Parts: sequence; C-alpha cells; structure tokens
Amino acid sequence: MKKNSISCWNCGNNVKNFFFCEHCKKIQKPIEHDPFQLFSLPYEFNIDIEKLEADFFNLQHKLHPDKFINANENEKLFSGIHSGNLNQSYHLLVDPISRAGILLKILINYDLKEKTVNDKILLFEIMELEEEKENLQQKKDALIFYKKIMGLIDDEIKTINNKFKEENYLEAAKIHTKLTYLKKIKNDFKKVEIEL
Amino acid sequence: MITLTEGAEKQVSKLLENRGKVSKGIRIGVTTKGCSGLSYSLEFVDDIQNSDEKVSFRDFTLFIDPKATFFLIGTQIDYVEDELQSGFKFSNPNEKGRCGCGESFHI
Amino acid sequence: MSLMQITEPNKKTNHVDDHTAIGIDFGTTNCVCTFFKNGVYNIITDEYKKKLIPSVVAFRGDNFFVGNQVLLNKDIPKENYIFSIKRHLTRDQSKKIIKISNDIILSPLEVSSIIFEYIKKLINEDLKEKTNKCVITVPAYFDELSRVAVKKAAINTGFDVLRLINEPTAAALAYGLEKKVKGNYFVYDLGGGTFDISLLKLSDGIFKVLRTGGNVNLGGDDIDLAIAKNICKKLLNTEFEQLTSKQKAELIMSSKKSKENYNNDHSSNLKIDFFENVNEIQVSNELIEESANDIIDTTIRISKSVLNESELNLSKIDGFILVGGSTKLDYLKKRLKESFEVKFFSDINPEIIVAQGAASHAHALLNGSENLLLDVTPLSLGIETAGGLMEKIIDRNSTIPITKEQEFTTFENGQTAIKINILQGEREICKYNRSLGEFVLSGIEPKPAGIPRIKVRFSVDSDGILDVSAYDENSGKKHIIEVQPVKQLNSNEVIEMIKDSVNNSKMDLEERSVLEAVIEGQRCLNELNYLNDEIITLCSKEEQKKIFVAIGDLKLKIKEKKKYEIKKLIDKLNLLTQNFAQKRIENSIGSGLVGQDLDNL
Repeated sequence: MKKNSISCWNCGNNVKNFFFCEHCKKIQKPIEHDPFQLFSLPYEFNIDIEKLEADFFNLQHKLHPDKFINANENEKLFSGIHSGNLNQSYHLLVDPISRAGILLKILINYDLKEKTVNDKILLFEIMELEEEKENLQQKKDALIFYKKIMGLIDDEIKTINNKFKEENYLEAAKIHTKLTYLKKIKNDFKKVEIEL
Repeated sequence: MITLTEGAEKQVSKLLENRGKVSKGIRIGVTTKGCSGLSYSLEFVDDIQNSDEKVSFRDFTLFIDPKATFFLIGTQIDYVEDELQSGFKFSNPNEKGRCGCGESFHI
Repeated sequence: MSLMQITEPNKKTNHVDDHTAIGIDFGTTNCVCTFFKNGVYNIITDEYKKKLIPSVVAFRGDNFFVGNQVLLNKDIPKENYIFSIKRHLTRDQSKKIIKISNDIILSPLEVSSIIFEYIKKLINEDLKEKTNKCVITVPAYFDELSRVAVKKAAINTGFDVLRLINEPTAAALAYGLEKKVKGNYFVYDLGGGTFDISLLKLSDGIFKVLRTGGNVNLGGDDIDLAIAKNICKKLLNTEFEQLTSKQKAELIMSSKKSKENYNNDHSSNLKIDFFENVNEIQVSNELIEESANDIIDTTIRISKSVLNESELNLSKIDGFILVGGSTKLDYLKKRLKESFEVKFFSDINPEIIVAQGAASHAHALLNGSENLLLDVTPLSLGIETAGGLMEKIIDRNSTIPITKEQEFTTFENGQTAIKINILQGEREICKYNRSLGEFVLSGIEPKPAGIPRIKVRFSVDSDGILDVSAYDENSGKKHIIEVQPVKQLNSNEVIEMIKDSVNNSKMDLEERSVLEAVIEGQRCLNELNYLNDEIITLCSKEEQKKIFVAIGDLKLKIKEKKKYEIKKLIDKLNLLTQNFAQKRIENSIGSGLVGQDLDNL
C-alpha cells in the first residue's frame, strides 16, 4: 500500500501514524487528508461534538507551534501546518452545515459552489425570508424573526441527519443548499441587528 | 580514531541529503547530561569550528569536538534499525560503565 | 540502549535549569516587564525602583532619556516629551515623522526601539543572567503591519522574540492560571491608547479565544484629552486648540491627575500655573463623567457587537476580567455594570496582569507546559479580484495558526501574469480595506481566460503575522512574498473598517452584484472573441448575425452597468451558441479521428 511507504524525514523509518514517527517520535510532514480522516472519524453526519472538542485540544496540545519553540526549522514548519489543519478542520466539523458540505463532497463529489441552484420553490421561499428581513423595523420583530430562522435551521439539520442515515445523499444535498441560504440570512441578520 | 560502519555512513549521507539545506558535515560532541555524567551529541554542522578534529568520509566530513576526542578514540558508530527503533549506536572500548537509561557513560 | 539521532545545531539538549524569558507589556502609556522563575512572578524595576516604566522618550542635546528619567527630571521641558508612540506604530511605522532637532528625525519604529533598548538594559541589570528571549504583548486588534513593526523594533535591539501574544489573551492566561476559573469570560482591556475586548473559553489549562474586537486608537489618553477640552470650554472659557503646545501638554497632565483623583473625592483642585490669571480650578466629578461618557459608550457598543456575533448570550458569560490602567476609574466600572449584568473581576492589578500573562507564556514556551493557548486573527484577510472586489480568504476570528488556499484564474485570454493585492478588512469593495502589499505572479502559460489555476496560499502564524505565497498549478511556478506596506493608511480606518462594513453592507452587496454581472459579461465577451473565427466557419449566416448583434448589445449594457440586462444577454448568448458548441465538439472529435487506425484509438 502506498500509504505505508511514507518514511520519516528524520530517521528514515516507515511511518504509519499521521502526526508522529513511531520510532524517533519526531513530528511528521503533513500529508493530504480530509477533516474526518484528521480526527479519525467515520464518514457520518452525526458526530459527538464534545469528543471532537476533546480530541481537538488533545492534538493541539501535542502539535501547536508553542510546543516547538526549541525545535528545528523542519519541525516548526510541520507543527505550524498540522496545527493550522487542526484549527480549520475542527471548525468545519463543528458547524453542522459545513460538515454536511464536506460529507457531500467526499461521498458523492457534490460541491455547491460549482452548481447553479434552479430549485424554484426553494428560491421563492428564500426570497420571501429575505424580504421579511429587509422589512424589519423593531427590535421585538427582529428577535421573533431570528428565532424563526434558528428554528428552521434546527429542523432542517434534523432532516438532513435522517437523509444521511438513509444514505439518501441527493436529498441531503438539496437540504444542504437550503441550509446554506438560511445560514447566510442568519449571518446578515446579525449585522442588521447591530444597527437596530 | 573513529570508524563508521557502512550502514552508518549511508544513513548519514541520506540524512544530510534530506536535511533541506546544505551542511558542512556532522559533528560529534560530548555534553554533560544523564545519570552517568557524560553523553554524546550528534549535530549537523553549519559553522566550522577550527579547533574541531576532522575526519573525511566519501560523501561528508565528520567533525569531532576536541573535548570529545579523548572519549571517542577507538569508537565505532553503527546504524541500527529494528521494528521498535532506529538510530546511531556508539560502541566504545574506553567505556567502563553505562548508565541505566543508556544516555550517558563514564570512563 | 538508547540510540542517537542527528539533531540541528545549537539545540539545547539539557533541561536541568529553567530558562528565563521575559514577558514585556509594551503599553501606550507604560511598559511592564516580568519574568517567572521558581514559581513566582518577578517584576523588573527601573533605577527609581518603579515597576511601571512610562513609555516616554525625550531628547536633550544628543542624549535621550526614557521613562521615569524623563518624568522625574524637571529640566526636560514637557513639550519635548514623545509619548504614546505605540499609537503611531499603527501607521507610518517607518516614516520619519518625529522631529527631535534639525539633524534628528526619527520614525515611530526607531523611537520604539529606544524604549526596547532601555528595557533591555534594565533586564540585564536586574536579572544578573543574560537572556534576550521574550514574549511581547500587542493589542488584539492590532493589524498585520503594526504587529510586524513591534516585532521589528524589539528584534532591532537584540531581543529574541519567542512570540507575540494578544494583551487580553495574556491577561486571561494570568487570571485563569492564578484563580483557576473555568467558563466563558470577557476580557475588557482599556489601556492608555488601545481598547480590546476578547471573549475566551477557559477550561483545564486551555485558553481559547472565541472572538475579539476593539479599537487601536481608543484609550485612557482620549479620556484625558476630553477632560482637558472640557476644562478649557467650561472652566477657562477658551478653546483647547488655541493653547500653545506647552500649555496643552501641561493641561493634559493635569487632566490625567484629576481623573486619578476621581475615585477619592467629589471634586479635585488643580493647580494651573501655566495659564494666565488662573491659579487653581476645581474639576467636578460630573465634568469627568461627562468627558468619559463618549469613550465608554464606544467600548460598550464594541463589546455588545462581539457578544452579538458570538453564539452566546449574556447568561452564558461567567464574567468580565478588567484589564488596563484605565479600568481603575470607578465610574467606568459603574457604567459597565449597568450595561452587562454579570460579575466583574479586577482582583489582579490591571496594570501588571498583562505582563504576568506574557511572563508565564514565555516560561511555558521555553520550559514546556500543560497549558494551551489558542488565539484568533482580528481582521479578515483576502485579495483583490477583478473589478475591485475583495475576496476573503481568511475570515476574522479564525483560530491561528491557519493556512488557506484559494484558486484564482486569468481574466483575459493569453494572460501571463497576475497582480495580487493583499487586503485586510471587512468591506466588500477593496478600496475601503487596508492594502498590505502587492505582488506579481508572472510566467503563467498563455491559455484561454479561466483555464490557468493559480493557487494563493495565506498562512497566519501564531504571532498573527501573515505569509502569502502563490503558485501556478500547471507550471509549478511559486512566489513567496513578504508582506510589506505599500500604502500607508490612517489607522483610524482600521476601526472604521468594521463599523463601515456594518453600515455599508447593503450598499456593498448592491455594488458587488453589479460588478459581478459586469465581470461575468466581460468573461462571456472574451470567450466569444477567442472563438470568433470558429463561429464564422461553423455557424450559418443567420446564426452569426444573431450572435454578433447580441454581442454588440452586451458590450453596450456592460458599459451602462445594467445588471439585469447583462444577465439576460448572457443567457441569450448561451442559447444562441448552443448549436455552435455542439458543432464544435463534433468537429473536434471528427478532426481527431481522421487518419487514425482503429487499433490506435
């Protein structure tokens, strides 16, 4: 297997571990991976967030550049890349919407960025919400609207979880598109709320 | 005064090549450390110190800290690799004892 | 036995003794230097045995004086003081703008180096042990160029800067370690010249910054100035602007004193011997409160927006840790308590807590520790794309270190070079953000527009400092660049950026959608232009006519920036060229097949 033929930059031995050489314990040159592989997670939507956070902190404890101040340039470089990968992967996995996006890309090579959305019903629904947001005048209404959006997001996350379980990925992709729109409305809304 | 086994010589060449920057060679020193008092150190060389002893090999130069020469006379360096670990092994006829941790020795 | 590995030279292999490294809080008003040894913090004192070293420099003849050497020396005229130099580090870092005499004009970076030089001398005298290793704190809201400037000023004087850490993070570290607290904490840090607010999650040995906000040009100095202005207006019947620079300096110093007296008295008497016919004035607490209100309001607004953007509400916040000399003002605490109904902590001296955090991190870096500090980048980073839009690559509040790659492509057919303008800020339109530097990626193989794949890699390291590189995926050509200031921006714009981005987000979105339509239209035209000859060979006269008329229309609408018409025409052209595209594919397969043996296929 190709993966097993990676050798340690320091001692030259074969390395199986992702981060450290089993022989000389040195930090290893980062190799390509997706966020799920980085945290040794199965390709499933439902993940244990608390465990993910604990794993994230554990790995950062070992890999963060602060732990390599006295190390050589190679090790410093690798630590920076590993630590950066961890940060990015962790935040992508914590957010259910970006997590769904990554899963779809891995499982069915579906990338929302490369698609044009032509689901008329969805677009109409989103347009209505946008309009509602634009017309917010009072803080009280804003709060109600915000709760509504949060409720919609929560419902869709439950649905997408089921679709992933049923391995109905095309349907999951559809919901992911909707969630992406809803998230954008939520974020834009935060800006509006500061103004109110 | 010091010998390298073929495996050790090969491994040093390989590591020098993989270091990512041009090195002047490698250097053996002796530092005070460990539970028996003295310990070898092995380093890449960027700046040559004139007081160092030089031993030339096919692909590289080995520098020896003058403080270390006394302890190193007759030493053979080998490269060992097994399932658990790999690295350079110093066999020193001058050594009288080795400490438990294997890190240091006394004469 | 244990086997030997070859290590990099100069690597310390023995770790019997603790190595000493200094934590330096390089403040706008005061500097504090602390080191951690054998489990206790030690503060370095100056020759007057004082722990706070005022960040003041003054010249007399060829000699320069720093800190209390200046303030305690009556012979140096106040108008010669150079203070709050840190404020100038946020802009014009290397510009010669500080005139000392006819012969000497210094840059903010050079003046900062003078302070670091003095600090270094104090450290060497106090410590009896040589160390040049240090951790320096910077305001969390400092941008890229300011961070680089501080690091440079210290390195120029021979310091080995192990890490730059953010001031509120350092404070949280010191507080968390000493009080062993857990939960979500705000660190409210109002210093002499800067304001930072950071939201952190503290758990066993973990200090994770969730979000940060602030203003690099807001601090206690502004309260002093506001008091001075109000004294002029209300008590002296004059305009502050009309005073001589000596009077201004004297009055600001007096205002500072009246602010410091606020907590004790209902009013304070100020001796003013520098103003004609007035010897003494009475500054009431009301005047001080009124002067401070604007600044306090601003900090509350920024704090609320940080809370708002986080996914937490006030009930999930365990408390506010107050940091910075300016939080000693009781009135400020009162106002904060009214706005945020949570607990406030100021039981570690707010003036030294930052240096303590820096010292304990410096110690941890050199000697190892069980703690983990994860900070964020305060402002978004990105690059300019066609049409003057900013494409964000790293969002603000991303945990650092972080590396992100983005793919870009050419806009014109045969384009062989791309200019990349690196930006920092929150606005959609480039010109409203700060440009950090520009570089050119040349040697791209000439290809039709949109074919080359240029990857731009942004890395923000643990110091919050950016490294940008770009490479062409096809040719493998790589450019690594150091980000250097090209355009100097007024630092007020750093804070204005976020405020503006909120106010202008709607306008930007509209502007952006128009620009995007124009770009899309231009791309469509370029493509058709590239295929011009083939259109003529493959399409019927009638088809050709329709296509070329639509191209003419599109050119016109692009000029007029008509968003909807542009989109319609692009759709129309797509439809008109469908037949042509089909033919073109057939044609290319056909020509590929001609003269080929079946066996070779």
